[in-house]
Parts: sequence; structure tokens; C-alpha cells
Amino acid sequence: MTQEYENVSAMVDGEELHGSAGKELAKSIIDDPVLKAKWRSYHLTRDLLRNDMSQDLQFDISDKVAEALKDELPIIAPKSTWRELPVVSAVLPIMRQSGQLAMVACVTAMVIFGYQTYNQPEVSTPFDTAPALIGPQGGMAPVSLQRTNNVEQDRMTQLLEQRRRINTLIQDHERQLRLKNIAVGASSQNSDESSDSEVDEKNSPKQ
Amino acid sequence: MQNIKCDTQALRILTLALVLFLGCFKAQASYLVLEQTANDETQRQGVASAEPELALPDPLAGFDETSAYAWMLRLAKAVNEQSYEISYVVSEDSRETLPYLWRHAILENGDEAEQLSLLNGPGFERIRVNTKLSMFEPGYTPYSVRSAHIDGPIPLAFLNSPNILLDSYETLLMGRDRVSGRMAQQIRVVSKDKTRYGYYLWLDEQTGLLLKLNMYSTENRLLKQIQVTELNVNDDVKLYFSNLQKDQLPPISVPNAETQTDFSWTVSYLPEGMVPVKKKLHRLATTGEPAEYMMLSDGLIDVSVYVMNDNNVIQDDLSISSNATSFVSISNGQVQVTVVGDIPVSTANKIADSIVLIGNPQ
Repeated sequence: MTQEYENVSAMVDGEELHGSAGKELAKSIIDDPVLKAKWRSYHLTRDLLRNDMSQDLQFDISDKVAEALKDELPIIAPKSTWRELPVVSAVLPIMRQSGQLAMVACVTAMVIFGYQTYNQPEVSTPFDTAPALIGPQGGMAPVSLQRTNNVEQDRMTQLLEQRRRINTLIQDHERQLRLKNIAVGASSQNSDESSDSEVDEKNSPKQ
Repeated sequence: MQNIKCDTQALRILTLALVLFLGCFKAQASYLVLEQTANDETQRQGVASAEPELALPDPLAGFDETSAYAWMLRLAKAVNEQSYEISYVVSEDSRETLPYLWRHAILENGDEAEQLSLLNGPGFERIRVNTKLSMFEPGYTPYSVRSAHIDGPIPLAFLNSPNILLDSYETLLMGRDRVSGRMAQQIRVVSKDKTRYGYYLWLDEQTGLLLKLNMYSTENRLLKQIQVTELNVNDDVKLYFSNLQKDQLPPISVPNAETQTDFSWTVSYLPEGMVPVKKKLHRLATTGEPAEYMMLSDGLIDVSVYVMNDNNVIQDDLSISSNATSFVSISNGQVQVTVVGDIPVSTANKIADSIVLIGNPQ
């Protein structure tokens, strides 16, 4: 093979091979791809050395690059986030701690606020009966007040009357209950009773 | 009586302890034959001494322990024949608990004496000697009336005449229970038609006296409770009455005889066992208003029915109840009907609604 490479080199250099050897070499260069590539690369080398590289020579290396890239392991780089910004990363732990404090503060604030809101003394708007500009001031008020008062008083006395009536009836009922036992004693054991009482009355003066 | 019983009981316990002690002794030392026989002798003597007590005539002979009614009869008998001192408290929903003291004794001369005192506040005092009942109440001059019983918080029907309950109530034996540190029989008294309140009574097994009384609404809500805190059955109770000067008691005032009148109306609905016991024209105690009055009673509970002119005081029909007492008032614009009594409101309403005219109003 090295012999053949030498022969190819000689042929590139323009040295003539005699006889059928030259024909055979030319034939094998055409047929054999290895020799063919050698032929090509020898020519390229000679051209480089002579410094007359043809301008239209093309190196197509994109295939190789693509192939190489395909085999390469992908390199995964972590995305940088805003948290990693120097200032932020320094502040973050402090924020985290103070966050809890903030929650507590919020709750406290809500409680206080709520307490204040719900415990506000009711805004008592003065009882305005009529616009102050029209007519004499408060001219209407006493009359209307008096009127409602009367109604309320009536209702009150009504209720009191009613309660008194109920109490009267309940008291009377209780009195009747008490009387009943006495009455029963007097009526059912009438004969026994009278004799008993007579004896009682006779006895007591003697004693 | 109680003291003797205590003594015999103590003797019994002593004997029992002796027997147990001897049992251990026997097992341990079989060789002490001589002592053993001597001990047996004492043991026999102990048993012999306990026997006469057992041989006493049983006061409960012929008593049916499984009958609730027999227990009720026994209560009535015990209440009227024994000498006792009972302390009890009465509690009602949303009211102060009130303590009472109740004494009963048969005196030397055969007189029956009874006393009931309310112990809180000004209280009151009621003393009865036979049928003379004297009332001492703050704010009133003392007076006496004729009555065979003192009417206290415990319904008289339970204490004196359980037979009048038979028409309207059923008595059921609920079993044994422990009340005030004593064994008791629990008895349920419930109205046959379930229109009145129900009662639970606990009666002392030993004496037959009342230990506890509960009153329940028809929905089984506890309305009233009477609880005995101290029970002392002892003939010595009569000593309390020894200072009592019979002639010092206020004289008897006899209330005017009440004339029964017939009304132009009647009550068409009556709970089972309830009957009208009184019908009269009368004036209300405090206001003097005239009213036609009818009292209904089943022996245990009394209900008052008032029919009077509607003077428009109670404008709306009312039915209210506080604890056990119900008050129902209805009106047709001219006549007002009021029912008051210790019955459920529903029953009071029914009674009030059932009033009908039977003739021309006078």
C-alpha cells in the first residue's frame, strides 16, 4: 500500500511510470477510493506548498460539525432568577422572618380596627322634626312628641292593667284553693266536725 | 321505735362479725376444741338473742310490695299515724329553693298535732291540733280555721287520700332507688289521658314516708322538685308540742257558707276524672269584680274557671304559663273566660274553648 502511495505521489509530481505500471496505477486511482482520496490530498498539499490554492476550493465542514454536535452531551445551565440578584438574595431571609411578624401585625391591626369600628358609639343624629329654617324653631316637635308619648302611656297603662288583672285572677285562684281544703273539711266531715268542735270548746274552758 | 331498731341492728351486725371471726378461727386452729365449743356456745347465744326481734309481728303483714297503690296507701297511713320530723326543700325552675320543716306527732292525750314552717325569709307557721288549723303569717293577724290537714307544697291527695286519684291517674311501680341515703321505692303517677302533669314519688322502704317528689310536664320537663333532706321518725317529736297552749291559739273563724248557684253555661270538655266541685257567684279577692266561678278538680289538681263581663282590659286572647301554672283567657267581646290552674296550657285552652251556653243568660 505504501508503495502504491509512493507511486501516486510520484505521479502527482509528474514523474512518468513506464510501461503498463502507469496505466494500471491510473486505473487503480480511479477505481480505489482510498487512492483516489490520496490523490486528492496530495494535490491539495502540493497546491498549498506552491501557494496557488484555487479560490473555488470548498471545505464543507458543516456536516461534521452537525455530527459532532449531535454526539455532544447537552449542557444544562440553571436559569438565573431575580432571587439570585445579589441585593435580593441578601434581603430575602430578613423578609421571610419579618413576614411572620407582618402577619401578626396585620391580625392585630384588624382586631383593633374591627373593635374600633364595631364599638363606635352610635352616631345619634339629633331628632329633627322639621327643617330649622321653616317656621318657628321646634314649633311642630312638642306636639308630635306629646302625641306619641300619650299613645305609649296608653299602651303602658293598658299592659299594667292587663298584668294587674292576670295577677288578680291568679291570686283569687290561689285563695280558692286554700278555701277549698277548709271547705272540704267542714262539709264532708260535718257531723264529726261539729261534735269535735263542741268537745274542743267544752274542754278548753276547763283547762 | 327507731332507737330500738337501731339497737337490734347493731346487735345483728355484732353477731355477724362474731360469726365471721369464728369461721376464720375454726379454720386456723382445729386443735383448740375446748375453746371452740365455748365459742360455739356464745355464737348460739348470739343467734338466740337476735331471734326474738324477728319473731315480732310484722307491721307490714299483708302488704303487697309489688303494688304501687299499696305503697301509696302505706304513705297515707304513715303520714297520719307516725310521729316524725321531716326537713325538705322545694325547688322550681327559675325560682328560689325554699326549705320547709314538717312535724307530726300523736300526743299523750291522743291529740294529733302537726306543724309546717317555711324557714326562709319571714316565712310562715301553720299549726294544727286535730281539726283546728292556726295560721301565722307575717302581715296578717293570726287566725284559725277548721281543716283536717295542713296544705303545704306536697299535694294533699298524695298524703291523705290516694283513693281519689284512682279515677284520673295511674300509679306504676318503677323499682328501687336510693334517695337521701335511704332505700326507696319509686312510683310514677300519670294521668290516664295524658292531659295533666306527671309525678314521680320516692317512698322510704323502711317507714313508707315520702323522700322525694318530682313533677314533670307532658314533655318530660322537670317543673317542680321536693327533696327530703332529713327524716326522723321518733316518738320524741311530741316533745316539741308539749309547750303548745291549745287555748292560746287564735279562735276559729268560719268562712261564710258558700251558696252553690247554677250558671247558664257549662264546660263541655273535662279531662278524665275531673269534675266541677264548686259553682258560685263571687267577687274577686282584690278588686271586688263580680265573676261566675267554677272549680274543677280531679282530687290532685284544682282548676279555676272565671266567666265575667269583658271590660276590655285583656284585649287579646292570652295563654301563658309560668312553671306549672297556666293562665288562659279568651273573649268574644262581651264575655271573658279565664282558666287558671296547674295544668298544661294545651289542656287549659281546651277547657276554655269548650265552654258552652246551656240556657238563657240571667
